[in-house]
Amino acid sequence: MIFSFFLINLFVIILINRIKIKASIKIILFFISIFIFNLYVSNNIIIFFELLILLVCSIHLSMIIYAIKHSSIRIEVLNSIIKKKKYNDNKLYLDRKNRFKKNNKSLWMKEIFTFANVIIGFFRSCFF
Amino acid sequence: MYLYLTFLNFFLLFLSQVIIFKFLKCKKNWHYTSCLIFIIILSVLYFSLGIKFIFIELLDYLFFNFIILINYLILLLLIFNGSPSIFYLKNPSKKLFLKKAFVKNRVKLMKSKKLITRNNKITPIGYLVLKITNFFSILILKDDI
Repeated sequence: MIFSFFLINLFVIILINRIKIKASIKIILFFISIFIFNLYVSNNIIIFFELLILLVCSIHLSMIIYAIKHSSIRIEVLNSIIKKKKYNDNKLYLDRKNRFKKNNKSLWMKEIFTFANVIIGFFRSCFF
Repeated sequence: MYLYLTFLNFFLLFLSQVIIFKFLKCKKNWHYTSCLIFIIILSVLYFSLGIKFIFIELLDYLFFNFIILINYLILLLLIFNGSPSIFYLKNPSKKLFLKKAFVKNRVKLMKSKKLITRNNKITPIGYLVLKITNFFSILILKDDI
């Protein structure tokens, strides 16, 4: 059940990714479709929560794949070497500065980082 | 079916991490430590509680736990390695940001992991990483604005 549900998640996100829309809308579409499917297939509340956790994990993994491509420093450095351009801390600073501007249309909105910061703050206070 | 057991596994993992990272101050190789602790907790709980899953259920249970573990470790990566975006959100000062030297440190790491050479040329491993990243981004989630 768990494994097959994960495969369905993977199949659906691949299908939704074919549509030419913004990444944030793809994520919302994916969540709604799988959530409805989850409601339909769950026999009880426990299975519903298990599948919901799996859905959240799938969304998190998809966003990480997106993050690696679009904002990983390693990938930026590799791309800059190919394009024979210099990538340094100053460029990274300007990139991050632009990310928090109001006209930013990418998946990385200020609200996402504010939310992540709360979670990170909790874990940092526990581990450091 | 696996929810309570999984919750218990991760709760015990979290408690062990607090003891090891905060009180024993052993943060080196935190990813290997976390994986090892989790495997020990998973096995000990499974055998000590006398749970008997059939083979398919056991595979499902392991898959469920390891998917959550992967997600959890990725989250911990942000906590232990730091994120430039989160740093900027907290301190928008350019001076402090440049002082942190995110790119410089990452380039050093890339050289030690042999993604690039000392002369800043991409190695075959570096090209492979780039191709895999592009492949998964095109397959799973890409921006079409």
